[in-house]
Amino acid sequence: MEATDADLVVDCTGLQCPMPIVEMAKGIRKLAVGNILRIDTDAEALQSDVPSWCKTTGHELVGEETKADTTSYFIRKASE
Amino acid sequence: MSEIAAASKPKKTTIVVFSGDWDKALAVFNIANAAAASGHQVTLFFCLWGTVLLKKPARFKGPNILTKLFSVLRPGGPAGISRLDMGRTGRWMFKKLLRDTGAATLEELMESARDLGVEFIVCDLSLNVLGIKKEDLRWCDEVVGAGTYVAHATESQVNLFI
Repeated sequence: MEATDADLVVDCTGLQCPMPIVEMAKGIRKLAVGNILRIDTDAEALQSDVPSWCKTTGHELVGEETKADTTSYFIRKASE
Repeated sequence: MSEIAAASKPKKTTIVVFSGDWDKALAVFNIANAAAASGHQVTLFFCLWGTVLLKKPARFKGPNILTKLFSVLRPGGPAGISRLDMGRTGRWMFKKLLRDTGAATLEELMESARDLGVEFIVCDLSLNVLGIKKEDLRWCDEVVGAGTYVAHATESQVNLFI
């Protein structure tokens, strides 16, 4: 998935647990249903936390992309 | 949409904040932020040392000599760390390690929890025993008894005592 596919990009590089998922929650609130949020992170725990967060909230993880130390997760907003 | 999110009622997390220790408070607010960010309604029930964590620092305050003395020993805010505090040295080292790692501070986590709508309810008995008034606290949505905690806990999928 290309970076341009995201409707909103939130840069969480350098942030430690639990702040990336707090920023994810804030980011997703700003979007309309069906829009895509991209989260950029260098925190390894997000490999587990992003799918878990999506499972809890119902939003859909539609892709991920790793470049060097940074991974981008693409999340589609499923509901308000 | 997943089955969990499709359920009509939002999920709920309740945490009893009994300890006023700085490191334990860090755990409370880390989990409270994560739960609130995951769409849970989060309620923190502060009792005993947890109420002191919320207190605005003030010395020689209280309705009697014992509570006044207590306010000198514990003026308000987080206490030391629960292990290896070593007369504040451990606390300083721990804070430095957190800062160097780029982790959020306790203060930032507390403010973030409020921003995310985490509810703070405070034990009535603890306030009375320690001579603390509701207006002495930095944040307090409601002063309640244990029955209210039980009602919140009954509805919660996540229920912790820290």
